Amino acid sequence: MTSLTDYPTASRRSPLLEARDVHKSFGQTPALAGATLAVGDGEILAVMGPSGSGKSTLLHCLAGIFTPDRGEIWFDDGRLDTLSDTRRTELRRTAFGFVFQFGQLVPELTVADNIALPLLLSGTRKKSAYATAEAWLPRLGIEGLGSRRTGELSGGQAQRVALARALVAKPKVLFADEPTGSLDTLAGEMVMTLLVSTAREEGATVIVVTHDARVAAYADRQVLVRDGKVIDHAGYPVTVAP
Amino acid sequence: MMYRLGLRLTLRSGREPFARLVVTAVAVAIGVAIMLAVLADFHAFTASNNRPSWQSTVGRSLTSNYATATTSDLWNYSDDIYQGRTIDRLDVAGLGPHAPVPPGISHLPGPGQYYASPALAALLRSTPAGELGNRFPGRLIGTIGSRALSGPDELAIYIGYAPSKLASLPATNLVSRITAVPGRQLWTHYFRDAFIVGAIAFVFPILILIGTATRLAAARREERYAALRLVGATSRQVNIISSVDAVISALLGAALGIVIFLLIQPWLVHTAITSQRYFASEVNPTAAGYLIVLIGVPAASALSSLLSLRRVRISPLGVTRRVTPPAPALWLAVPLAIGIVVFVLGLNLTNNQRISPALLLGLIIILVGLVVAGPWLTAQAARLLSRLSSGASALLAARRLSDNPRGAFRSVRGLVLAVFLGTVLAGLLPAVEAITATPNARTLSNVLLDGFTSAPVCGNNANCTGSSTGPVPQNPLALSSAQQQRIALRGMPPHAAAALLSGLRTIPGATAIPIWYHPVPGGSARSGPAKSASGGPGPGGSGPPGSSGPGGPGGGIGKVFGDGPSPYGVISCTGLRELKVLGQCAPGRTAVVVQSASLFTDNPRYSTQAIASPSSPAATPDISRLPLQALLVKVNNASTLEKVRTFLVTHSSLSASGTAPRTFGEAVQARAVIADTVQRLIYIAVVLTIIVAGCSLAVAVGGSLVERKRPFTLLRVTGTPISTLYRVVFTEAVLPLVAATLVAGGLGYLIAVLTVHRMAPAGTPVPAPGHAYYLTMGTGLVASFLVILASLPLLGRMTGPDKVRFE
Repeated sequence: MTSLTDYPTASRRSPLLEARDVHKSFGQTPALAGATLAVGDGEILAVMGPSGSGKSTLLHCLAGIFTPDRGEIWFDDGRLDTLSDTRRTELRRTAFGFVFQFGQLVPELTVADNIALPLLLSGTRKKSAYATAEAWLPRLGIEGLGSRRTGELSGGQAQRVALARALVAKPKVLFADEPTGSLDTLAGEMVMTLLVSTAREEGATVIVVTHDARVAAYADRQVLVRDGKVIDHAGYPVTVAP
Repeated sequence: MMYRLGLRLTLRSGREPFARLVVTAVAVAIGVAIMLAVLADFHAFTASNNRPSWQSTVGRSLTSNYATATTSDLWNYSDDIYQGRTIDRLDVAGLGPHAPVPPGISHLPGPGQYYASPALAALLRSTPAGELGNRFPGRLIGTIGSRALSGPDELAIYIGYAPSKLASLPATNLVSRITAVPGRQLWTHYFRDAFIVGAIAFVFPILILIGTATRLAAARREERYAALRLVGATSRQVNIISSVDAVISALLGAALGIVIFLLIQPWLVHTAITSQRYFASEVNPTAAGYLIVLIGVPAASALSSLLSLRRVRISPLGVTRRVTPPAPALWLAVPLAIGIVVFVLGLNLTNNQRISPALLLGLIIILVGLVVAGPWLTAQAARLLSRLSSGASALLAARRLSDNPRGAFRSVRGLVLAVFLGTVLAGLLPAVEAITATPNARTLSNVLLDGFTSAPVCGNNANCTGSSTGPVPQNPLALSSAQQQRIALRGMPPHAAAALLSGLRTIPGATAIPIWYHPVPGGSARSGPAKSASGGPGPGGSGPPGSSGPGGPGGGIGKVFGDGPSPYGVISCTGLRELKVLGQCAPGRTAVVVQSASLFTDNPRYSTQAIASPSSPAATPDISRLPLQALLVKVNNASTLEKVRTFLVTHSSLSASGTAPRTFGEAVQARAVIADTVQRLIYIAVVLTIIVAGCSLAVAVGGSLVERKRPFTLLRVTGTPISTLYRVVFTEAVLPLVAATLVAGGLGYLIAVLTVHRMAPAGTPVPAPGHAYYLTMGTGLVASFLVILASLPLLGRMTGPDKVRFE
């Protein structure tokens, strides 16, 4: 059995984000049953596990989307789970970025609009927001697509736009839930390569939920979620140190 | 099998489809209730106007052997007034057992008997006889049935006479057949046409509401249908399931709508246009109306649902839009521009005598143009919003509107027409009031005017534009033709006038000011030495533009008696001192010649102007030997007024006037009532249309939320505050509503200004809508905003971050 304090992080730095003995149920169905996990600053972590194991629920708890029924979530040395919904919403807007499997882009908006949206939501001036958004297009290989509607993009292009939107506000943590789930192998590899490289350039911590070993291979570290618990590389549940 | 599956999917597929069913049914119910109310009102209006108009009956002159006409009546119709309300009075005597019987009674009243309408019977019971009852000789023997009345508040009376007695009264004639065709008052055609146009304009947004409600959350349903296709359902089977879904919700809504209508039905009797109230039994949409609703609404819903499915291709692999509609082009605004140009041209071809067809054509093109240009205007408003605002919520809302301006405008299409017409009216009515509202407008409100020549006092039935029931036939048995013509042109003979004035002096609180006959210099009623430069009456002031004397333009009665009554009269200077607004004599004079015709109009701008001035020529000192042309009676209260009126009605049998004595205030009021009624009804229609548009928008918002649940939920997950999403949805709904109101209101106001500028006398102020207009628009918009706001909590519940797990 591994305790949280002696669990190594890739960067050997103090954890940026932690889940401590987190429990979460949906009705009578338990999704997390004492999940414990620490993620270092700048680390790229893959959370793997079979379908229904609780990996997405864990990601949502770490991101402040769900509040655990029991246990604690810590971010940047502060409790996250006890924050108000407004404060958690603000945190998700300013400190976190998200990439989902599909459907996160607003269909009425253009590519540039979608990328600029987080900046506009944070109060950045229109001109500056769009200038920043335009600057992200060549970094992700989607230059020239700024005025396109999202419905006119391929799946890979849409995910690159989603990646740009997730990173444009310079988040500390990027959460990616099955980011290549709707893509073919080639497009998936391209998206993951870009995700990892740009995240490293930006110094962002990345937590990728996937069931695909090829995607997990891009991470610095992999953990497994099974039956609502995080399992270490030796197959033991990770626990909180006494 | 498919029908059962459709039923099961509609009724037992979980909370979301059930909530959609409830929302759709409620929206359809609101639309159905309002539609039934319009149908019921239209039925009552039609029934009221198609009722045989016994008042329009025209007989022939009496001859000495009239008594041999045993299948005829002696008929003497006149109108009377009590506290501003018109009383239809028929003095009648049957000449045999087969004499025609007026509608609403089974037998003719005998001498000394009368039938009264229920409202008049009640009034007679509650009013002192000296103020009303004494006008009607005899006793009440029954009430007049609804077949003879336009509404339960109508005042009417059939008074029975002995034939010999009635034959001796002026204006009695012989009637062998009572008119059975519908009555046609001056405004009836306009009201009927306007009602039809208004009803169509009003039902239009309701149909849109029902259609929008039926297609609520179509995208979610289409996803379900795609899943059905995946497991092998054919397109036809999907269509059946879709139709069942639409029919069930529409049927529920129609049934609920009928219940709502039945609850509001009693209130609808007060929405009468040409009478005070409708008969409650007539305010119903008829069996056909109910049938249309119960069959038509579900059928239309099913059709609408099928049509919406035609716009998408539902394959087993999902739903794809068949076409992306192009952005609205500038040419959509062309019909509107053409309409404005045609209207302005029509306005230039219109004058006081004739309304140019181009004017109406222009108005219709503008109405159509507003609907056609709506999507383009919505797209422009969205573009402007996108350009001017920098926030995320404005960006999201503007892009959504730009993406589908037709859909956004669809919900407010009916509103545009209602606001446009309401604003035109709101702009014109104050101008009309401004024309009539003078500082002296109310100074003669307590002064009663009774004319004795054939010049009618303007008002309800006999008005200045010649819609009178027609010239009163002469009765040679009452007086000789020469005598009658003398009375018609000059007024009451001096001896009868002296008796009348003597009797009036016995009524406390009444001061009589006679206007005596004065011949027209040169012998023509149309010309006079003192005629003013404006073409109106001479001494003392200007007359109404286009005025052609007291007989009115075209002068119905004037034609009967050649040149018509003299527009000049003589008034004593003592009498003038009682009515200072009518002017002053030069010092030392006892009586002056004035042009009295203006007193007979119902427009206070003319009727309360000075008729005398120091330059008015002196009249003969012995005025009491002149015929009595008219009488002004100043009264101190309402009771005295009715006593005076009762006295005049019963003591002025030698009068050629077919109309009852009335105050200047009552004449103005009769003119104002119709305008007020029209204004009130249009404002009610505008408020309801705005609310219906708000409901449509709310339903559309609800539908769009269901369709955009995933992107909105993910936006919230990524940190978008719920307040931002509220603003997005609210802006999307409110922008078309406000933009449509502003454009339609602005254009309506422009039309009103152009019309007033062209038609009203110089110096008429630029029209400014009154408080009622702003109150109406404000109430309607606030109600719509509230309806839209009420749909927003749905957004909060649907897009909670905890919902993301199930996406």
